[in-house]
Amino acid sequence: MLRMFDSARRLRLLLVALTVASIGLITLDARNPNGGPLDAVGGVTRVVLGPVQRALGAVARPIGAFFSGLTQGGALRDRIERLELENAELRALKEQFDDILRENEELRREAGVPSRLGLTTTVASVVGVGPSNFERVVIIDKGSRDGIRVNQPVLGNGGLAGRVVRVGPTTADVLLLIDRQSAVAARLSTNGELGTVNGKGGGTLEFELLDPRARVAEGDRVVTSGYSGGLFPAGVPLGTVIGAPLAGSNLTRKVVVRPAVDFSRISFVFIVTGRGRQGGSS
Amino acid sequence: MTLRRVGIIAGALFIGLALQTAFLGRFAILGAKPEVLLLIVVAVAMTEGPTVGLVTGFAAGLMTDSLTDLPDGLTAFVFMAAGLAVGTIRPMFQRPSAWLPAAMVGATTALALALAALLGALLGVFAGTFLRTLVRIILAAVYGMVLTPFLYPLLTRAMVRQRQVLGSVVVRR
Repeated sequence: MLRMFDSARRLRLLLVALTVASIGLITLDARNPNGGPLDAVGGVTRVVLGPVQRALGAVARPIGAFFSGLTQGGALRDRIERLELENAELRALKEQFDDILRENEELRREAGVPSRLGLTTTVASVVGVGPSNFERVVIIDKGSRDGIRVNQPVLGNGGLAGRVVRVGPTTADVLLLIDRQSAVAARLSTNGELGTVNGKGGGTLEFELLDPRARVAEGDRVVTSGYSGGLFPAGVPLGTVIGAPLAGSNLTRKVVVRPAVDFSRISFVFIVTGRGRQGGSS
Repeated sequence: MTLRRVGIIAGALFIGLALQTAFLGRFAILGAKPEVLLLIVVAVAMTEGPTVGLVTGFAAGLMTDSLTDLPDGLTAFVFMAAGLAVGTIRPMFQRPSAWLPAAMVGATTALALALAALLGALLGVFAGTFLRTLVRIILAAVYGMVLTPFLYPLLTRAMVRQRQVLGSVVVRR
């Protein structure tokens, strides 16, 4: 009898203590804009978890590939042939492009216009996803040891994928464009109308135009505006306008955008580790 | 509560987190991932009772919070409540049933994520559309139920060597 009383009391004490602890943590987190009090704990967890994630991710990839291979079957051979052809074509174009690039750089130097190309990128493979159902985060197999830093832009196949939000020694977390917390300064490539592209947590993005009377049509391309000092380089594809205009206020206008990157099957990304005058490339 | 058992629970949480982030999370259904850590909390609370369930929930929540941008302490609070609730209502089910663990995991995942979404909305961090959040919560719950037959017996078997085992359900004392 006495023991039962003891354990009930212990439970109540623990409940009160841990409730106070979690409310305290939430409050501390809300008061600190640079991250919560658990960041240090997360850093330690990341150090230990990173290698495990890398190993497990390497195992998970072929399994995913196997399942998608089953459904795609013979289409793969055609795909390889088509890609080889495309590759040869692109290689030829690249030589031409390098020449034009050099010319462009020379002309820019003459005219005193700052360089906008010359991104240095690091390739990384996606080894995992964030633990929460309320975040759209992927884990990549490169970390601070490979020169990855917080806020570096991340490119996917076809356009901007997101940005680095947390870094461990051997892994890093990338907040995808489709996450609700993601917002990127953008413009329409057709007429340069400015706005922001916001994540919705689902598969599509939302382009919020600054000018409510802006002309926007289905199929219009949206790219990063890359204002000076911004996080992202200019002109990186974000997506294509698909929906009719969403309801906006008198001050802004919103349209639905299909992301340029297919986030459901993202397996490799390029992290922009440097940009500016060094002129290197991947 | 022996040191050995603390080790088992801590190890299970760590492996669960790795599994969640690097393996199962990659096979998301319409964006919904299983809540492996919550499944572990349910298994622990079912075998060890409300007190251990409460502490395990808190620890599992802290691990999740430390790795996300969500407000620190939110998941800790929600998982803690889940561990306490499961441990408390466990004695109400006298007859062992193979469905009980799966039903418990499903219900707990749904309720815990709903509570997290509600608290998140109150704190102004994730104001998603109601429908999308609801669909994701239901899918995550179903995902957890599907995983239960694979993961749950491993966990309970690891924890209860010397206890009386009835089917896949463990009776306390």
